Amino acid sequence: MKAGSSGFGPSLIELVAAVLLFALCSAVCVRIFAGAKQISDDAADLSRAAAAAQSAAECFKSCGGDAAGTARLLGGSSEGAGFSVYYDEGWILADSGKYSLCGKITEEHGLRLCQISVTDGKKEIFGMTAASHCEVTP
Amino acid sequence: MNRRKGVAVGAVSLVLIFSILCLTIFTLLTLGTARSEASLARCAADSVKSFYAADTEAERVYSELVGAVLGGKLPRTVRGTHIEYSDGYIGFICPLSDNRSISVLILADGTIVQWRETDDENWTPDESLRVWGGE
Repeated sequence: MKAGSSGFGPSLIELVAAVLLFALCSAVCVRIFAGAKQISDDAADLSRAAAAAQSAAECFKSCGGDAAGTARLLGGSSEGAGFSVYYDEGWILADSGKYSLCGKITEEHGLRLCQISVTDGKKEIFGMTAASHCEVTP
Repeated sequence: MNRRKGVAVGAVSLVLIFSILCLTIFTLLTLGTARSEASLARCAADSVKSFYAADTEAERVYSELVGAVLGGKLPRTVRGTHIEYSDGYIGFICPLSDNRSISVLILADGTIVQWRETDDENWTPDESLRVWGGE
């Protein structure tokens, strides 16, 4: 039996064309889905990093610019004029983890400045500077 | 029996078209949502950054101003910020964005009375709607 005469041929061509077209479209869509997930994950990281940095800045200000006090309030550790806090993949406080928040404290004209940086081990996610005034004397 | 000629459009093609349409729509919706989330996260992060930049500037002005006042001087401007004196209070405003700023009010001995974010835009409440005001 000939394929063309029974209608099996056109059906097979249609099926093959459909599978190929679907494979092509789904490949493009899967790439876009993956890109969207990456964008969404980056956005979530940025939000959490900004919140963590803001929390660190407020702790720094409430401690009057003291590194040890800030580290204690944040649940991290302090070394000299700086402090560091680590978070795991779910942004939960940990001894060591994927994300780290570092603060470097410097003094300048009666001010304590804290350069806060949140990184994921490879690149900086969020960075900002907070300030706290020292006791002012005439 | 009539033979079909050319490209056949049967049930398989219809299912394919429907599947691709669904896939495309869900992909675009996912991408749109992800981009909106990223935009919102950037806005929030920029807002936090600009607030602390203005707060740092206010701290610098405060530090210099209190040093000058305790030294017996009454400067009109500190670091380009206009200083106002009234009724024993000393005040200054540091701009945060186009319509927000940090307003600081201190006493002559350096005690901070007010340190808050204010909205500079004047707004008038819309009272055109008749709402129940109680009794």
